[in-house]
Amino acid sequence: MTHPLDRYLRPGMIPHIWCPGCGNGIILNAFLRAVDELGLDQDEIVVVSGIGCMGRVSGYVNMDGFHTTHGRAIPVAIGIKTARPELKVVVISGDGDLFAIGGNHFLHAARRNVDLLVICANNFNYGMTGGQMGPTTPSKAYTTTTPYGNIEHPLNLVYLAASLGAVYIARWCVTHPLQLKESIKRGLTKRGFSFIEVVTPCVTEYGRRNRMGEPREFMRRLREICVIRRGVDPSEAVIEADRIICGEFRDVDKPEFTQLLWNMIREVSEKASRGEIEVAL
Amino acid sequence: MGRFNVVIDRDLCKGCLLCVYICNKRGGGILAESEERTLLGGALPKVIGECIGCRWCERICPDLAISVEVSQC
Ligand SMILES: Cc1ncc(C[n+]2csc(CCOP(=O)(O)OP(=O)(O)O)c2C)c(N)n1
Ligand code: SF4
Ligand code: SF4
Ligand code: SF4
Ligand SMILES: [Mg+2]
Repeated sequence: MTHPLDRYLRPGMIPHIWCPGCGNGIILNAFLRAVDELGLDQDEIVVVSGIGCMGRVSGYVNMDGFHTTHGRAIPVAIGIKTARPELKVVVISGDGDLFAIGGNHFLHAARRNVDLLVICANNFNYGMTGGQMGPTTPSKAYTTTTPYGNIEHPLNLVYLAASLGAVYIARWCVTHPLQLKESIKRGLTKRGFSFIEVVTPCVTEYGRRNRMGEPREFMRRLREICVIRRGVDPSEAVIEADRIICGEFRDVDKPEFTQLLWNMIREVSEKASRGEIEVAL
Repeated sequence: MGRFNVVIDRDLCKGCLLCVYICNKRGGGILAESEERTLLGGALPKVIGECIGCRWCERICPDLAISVEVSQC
C-alpha cells in the first residue's frame, strides 16, 4: 500500500522496530511532514543520530545520514556542517544519548551557535537498554535503576539550551503533532543552533514502570500534563511529573559558527595570496 | 461512499489504536477497534462511519500505517 510520505522512508527498513504506540514514530511522522511541506530536496538534508531507540531514525529516513556511536551525534553533525555548510544537518536522538553520554557536545555546539537542528526525543529514560534512569528522569519516577523512586533532580533541557545561547528553542509533546511539525519547519529554515525537545511516551519501559497504561491511556495523561503557553521565559518552562509547559521559548538571531569560520578562511587566504600575511601551513 | 477514504496498511499497523483515540477525541469519531489482527499481531482499527478528512489519524500514527485519500468521484 502507499502512504503519502513513503518516498521519505528508506525502502526495506519499514516497519520500524519501535513498540506499538511509541512516540518516536510520531516524531518521525512530523519530521517527514515538515520536510515535505517545505519542499526540501531530500539530498540536501543529513540526519545524524546516536544510539538508542530514537537513534535508529537515521536508518529509516530516505536521506543521507549517519548512525554514530553513543553520544556522538552532535560532533559528527558539526563535522558534516563545517565541511558542507550548504547542507541542512539535523540531529535526532534520545535524552540519554544527547544529554547523558553526549551532554558535553550539546553544550559546546549550542555555545558556538553551529547551524544544526537538534531534536531530542525525551522519554525520560533509556528505552533501548531496558528503561534505566537518565538525566531527564523526573524525581520519584520508577525505572530499572531507581526501583524505589528517583532521588535525583532532572535537567530542564529548555532552560539549559537557553543558558547556552541557542537561537531557537521549543518544547512540544507528541500530543501536539501540528505544532511540532511547524516548529521543525522553523528549525530547518533557521540559521544557527535550534533545539526542539519532544516529550514522548516510552510505553514499554517508562510507561509500564510508572503505570502510564496502554498507548491511548498514556496519550490521555500526556494531554492533561502538557500545556502550551505563549511567551514564557525559559527559566519558567517547568517540566515536572504532573505539569509540562510547552511552546516556543526563543527565536533570535546571532552570527553562526560555520559561516564565520568560512568567512575567516576566505579572508585569510585572500590576504595570504596578496602576500599581506604569512600563513603557517 | 463519502469524499474521504481511510486506508489502513495491515502490514505496517501495530494496533496501538492511537488513531482510534484521536479520531474520537478530535476527528469524526469514525474509527474503532476491530476483531481482526494486523500482520504484526495488533488490533486492526476499522472504519465505522463517514470520515471528515481532518487527518488527525494520519498525523498521530507512529507507524505511518493510516492515510486518508480524497475519493475521485
Ligand atoms: C558507549 C556506550 N555506552 C552505553 C551503551 C548502551 N546504551 C545503548 S542505548 C543507551 C541509552 C539510550 O537512551 P536514550 O538516548 O534516551 O534513547 P531511547 O532508547 O530512550 O530512545 C545506552 C546507555 C552504548 N551503546 N554505548
Ligand atoms: S522501548 Fe520505549 S522508546 Fe524504545 S521503542 Fe519501545 S516504547 Fe519506544
Ligand atoms: S495509529 Fe497507526 S499503528 Fe496505531 S492502530 Fe492506528 S493505524 Fe495502526
Ligand atoms: S481523517 Fe479524521 S475523521 Fe477521518 S479517520 Fe482520520 S481522524 Fe477520523
Ligand atoms: Mg530516552
